[in-house]
Amino acid sequence: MTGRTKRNRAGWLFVLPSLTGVMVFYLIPFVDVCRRSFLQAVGGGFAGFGNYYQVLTNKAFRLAAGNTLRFVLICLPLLLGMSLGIALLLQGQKKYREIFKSAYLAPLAIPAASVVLLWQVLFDNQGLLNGLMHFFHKTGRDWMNEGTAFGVLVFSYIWKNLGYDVVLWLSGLLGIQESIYEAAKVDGAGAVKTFFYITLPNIRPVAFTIVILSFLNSFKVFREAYLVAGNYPQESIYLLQHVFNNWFSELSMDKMAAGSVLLCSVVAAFVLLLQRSWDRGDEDCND
Amino acid sequence: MKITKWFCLLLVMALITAAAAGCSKGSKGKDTASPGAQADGLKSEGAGGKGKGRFLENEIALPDRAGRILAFGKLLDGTLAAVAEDKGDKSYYVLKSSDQGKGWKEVPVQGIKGQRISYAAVSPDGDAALIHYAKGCRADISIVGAKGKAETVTLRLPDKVEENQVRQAAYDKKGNLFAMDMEGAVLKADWKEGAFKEVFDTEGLQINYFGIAGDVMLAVHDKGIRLFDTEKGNTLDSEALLDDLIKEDKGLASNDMDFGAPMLFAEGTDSGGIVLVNKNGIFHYNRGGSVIEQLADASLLSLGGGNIVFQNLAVLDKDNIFIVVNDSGEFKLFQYSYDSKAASAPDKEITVYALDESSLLRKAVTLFQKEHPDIYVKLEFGLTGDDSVTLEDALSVLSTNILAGKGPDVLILDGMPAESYIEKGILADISDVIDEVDQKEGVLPGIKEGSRKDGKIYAFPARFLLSVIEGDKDTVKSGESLEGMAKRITQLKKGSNGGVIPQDKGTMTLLRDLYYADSASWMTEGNSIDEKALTDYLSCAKQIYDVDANSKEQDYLNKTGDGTVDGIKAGTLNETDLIEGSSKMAFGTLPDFWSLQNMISSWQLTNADYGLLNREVHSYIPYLSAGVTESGNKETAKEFVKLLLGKKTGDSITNGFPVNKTAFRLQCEEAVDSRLVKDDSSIMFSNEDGKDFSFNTVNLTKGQVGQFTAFAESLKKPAMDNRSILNIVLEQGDKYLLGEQNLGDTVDAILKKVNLYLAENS
Repeated sequence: MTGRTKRNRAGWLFVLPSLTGVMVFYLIPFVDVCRRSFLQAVGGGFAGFGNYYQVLTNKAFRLAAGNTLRFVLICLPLLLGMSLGIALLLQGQKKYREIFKSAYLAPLAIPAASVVLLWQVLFDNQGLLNGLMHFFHKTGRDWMNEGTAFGVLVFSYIWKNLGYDVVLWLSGLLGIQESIYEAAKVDGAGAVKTFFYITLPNIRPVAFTIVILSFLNSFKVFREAYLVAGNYPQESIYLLQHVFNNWFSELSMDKMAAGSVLLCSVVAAFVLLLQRSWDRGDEDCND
Repeated sequence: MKITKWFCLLLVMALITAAAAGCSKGSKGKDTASPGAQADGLKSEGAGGKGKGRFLENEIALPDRAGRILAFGKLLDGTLAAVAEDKGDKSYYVLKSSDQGKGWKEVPVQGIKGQRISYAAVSPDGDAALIHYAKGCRADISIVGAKGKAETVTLRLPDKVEENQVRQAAYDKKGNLFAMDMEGAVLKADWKEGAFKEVFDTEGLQINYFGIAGDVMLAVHDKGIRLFDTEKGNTLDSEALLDDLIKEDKGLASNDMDFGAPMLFAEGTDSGGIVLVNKNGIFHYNRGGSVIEQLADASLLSLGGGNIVFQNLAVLDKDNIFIVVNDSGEFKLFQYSYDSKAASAPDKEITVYALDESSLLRKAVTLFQKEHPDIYVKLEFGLTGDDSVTLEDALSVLSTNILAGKGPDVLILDGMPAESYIEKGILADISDVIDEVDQKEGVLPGIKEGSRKDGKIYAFPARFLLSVIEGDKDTVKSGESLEGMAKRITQLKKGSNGGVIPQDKGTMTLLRDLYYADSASWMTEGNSIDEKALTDYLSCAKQIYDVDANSKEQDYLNKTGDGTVDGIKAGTLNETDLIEGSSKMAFGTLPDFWSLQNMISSWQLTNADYGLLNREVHSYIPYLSAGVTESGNKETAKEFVKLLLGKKTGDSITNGFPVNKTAFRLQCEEAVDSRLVKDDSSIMFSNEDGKDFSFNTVNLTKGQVGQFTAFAESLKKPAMDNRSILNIVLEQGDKYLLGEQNLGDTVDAILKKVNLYLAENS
């Protein structure tokens, strides 16, 4: 037995417990979800692609999918851009970096229920924000029951995840050797050139992880939306998880399974495309 | 490398699926004492070994003329004794039986003829204490000896308030008499000093009622049960398990009734043993013990019936327990005898699920158990009110159970998305059951037709409520439509300085009342809400609300949730303001014959009339809509539904009008020759200024019964009873009525949310 084979075996043994958990709690249920997506909810008769057709023509699903897509398209670039900017500022700030890092991470430690309470205090009809508007002789708004609800949701997502992404970006930035920057400086590179030709290429590996994690975290914003506005919130914050949650309550397991598989397919396609573009980028860099 | 990448991708997909699919919630467990273990002395279920042995119920016949049972107990020699009121002339008897109730010796009480007895107690040596209704801070007590001769003694009561009276009385095993007064103080009779005295230190706790087990007093308060030594008066060690009973079910601590209690206590056959009975069953507890052991499950006995009020409990010996109950006004004595050969639990089981507690459903379960002793009916309620479970939580748990193959056999669909369940094939066609009941006993034809969907019946209401309007003839006539009613109310306001609509019609109650009267006509053929109908409804609600918007009391509905209070479907029609003159009309849901009779009786003061509200729609509010699940035990479940719809369950004069025609007719006959009238029932109340109002309950005339029957037979459409939709309408409508949102935005918000809800299931 070669040393490499031994190492491989040891590696698998280390991975085995968590892999078993993942298999039992995620992979096998996922296979079952795929199976159910072709069956009727009650009785279990074969439905072919009927469930998929129903889901794709369902107004509620289409609205939720559109909202979720809009949310991701707005939030993801905003979060990534803002967190990278702050991380770059903190990269040069050695003295107070740790304090800022902790401050940015604080929202992550606040439970969703407390965040919801804060939302209610702030955005309620009789809330602080409307109080402030009245103080300046402006008319208050029903923030959570108008189009503004979407903005509140975006704000909440950014506020909660910003610190986390800053820390991740910082870990990538601090991993870049100082000597590279010094050499660039000697060669006369300015801040912009340094960013595009040294910083960005060097944080590419960590950027992939951050994008994926931020993308996955964007699905968690449902908790706050649900706790504040319930099953049927203002339509701009009616997300895919609302549909899934309500389908579950109404026993629409067939539609729920088909919807989940569709969602997974979209996510998988997104991850694959991202991975491919990253791989291509790596090859270009190596060339 | 490629395999690893694909594997990682699969993992990501699985994670997303898990996140998207949501979480299921476990079903709610219930803490009960464990049956099967054997108590010292008393036998528990299954104590006979190999799943054998249980207490069997037997109703003991009381003498024909015995009406109200005021007291009951076991004497030192094992004789059973009771104090009963004569059904006819209201005289009193002491009843004694030395053969476990097979025969009764009646001893008429002499010397108190014509006097009203409020409470009574039987002492261990056979004397009876009869407490008279008395004014002032005193108790007139007639002590009745073995020959029935009464000697009256007067005892003073604490005079903390102007009018203090006794509201409960009982003897301990040493013959000391105890009572509780109107202020919740537990008192001991001091015959020498001629007073009831406060000898127990309750530390300011509000005692709701008490029980005595031998020489231990159990005083029940909102947070638990305090124990006292009846002889010495000192406080005994607290019993955490007894306190837990109250903490887990606050209803066991409340005692807002004149007679009886939600829980009774008696001394067990062993030292320190206490036997207690409540709606969950008969239990045994040893003071200082670690478990409250269930001797008998109430759901297998008459004790689980929803209208049962416990009166007295006596433990004769280790195999025999006696309980007196008030079952819908009828006093009954049950004997529970241990049979070591009976199976400890029935072999078969069906589950009945409802969102809300229902006393009528409990009664149906009890009747079913009696008819089918081999079938155990498990009754589950999704929203108990004791926890923070929301409608969505309850429906999710129900969905999880159905999907896991552990769903109920019978679904009571009140407030549930019945349409969605029908569409998904969860409910079975029960046309055969309805047809059978219809052929045998009849059902209201409009309601039968209104329940059909594609020629089949998947859900059928056992009861219904009606939306009515009460006032002068012009007002009643205006109630043909909501628009007419709103106009009439505005017109009445112009000519009046006082209130026009009842004060308890806050935003939520008003919206809900009008919703029930109008929503039957809202759905379009395209499975969406008719915008014009919704706009008209909201406009009328606003117009009506604004008339007296400044004089609203706290909203009734905000306090009572969905309208079901303590298992009773309460109506919202309240004519007190009309009687007082503080409103010109009354409207709301009329829940039952009892309320109909009260409403008509009140016309002695108001000279009013009534009619269906929004008569154009001919809608009714379905109650106890039963459906049978396809995946359950269909045949047994159908049997249960048959019983629920049958005349036996339908004979209750409260809790909805029966859809069963025979039960409906019997109740009409009862209303013409009413028990309430025979009992000289009257209604009294005072307004805020202290002015008293009272009227006697009167029989309905045949014309009035005929008119009501015509109303019932004209019903065609059920009001929308999906609580998700109702909640959306109430939530948004409330903002509009309070002026926080304009009509257009409100209609828009409701339509978007409701149509989204409907679209999810399309």
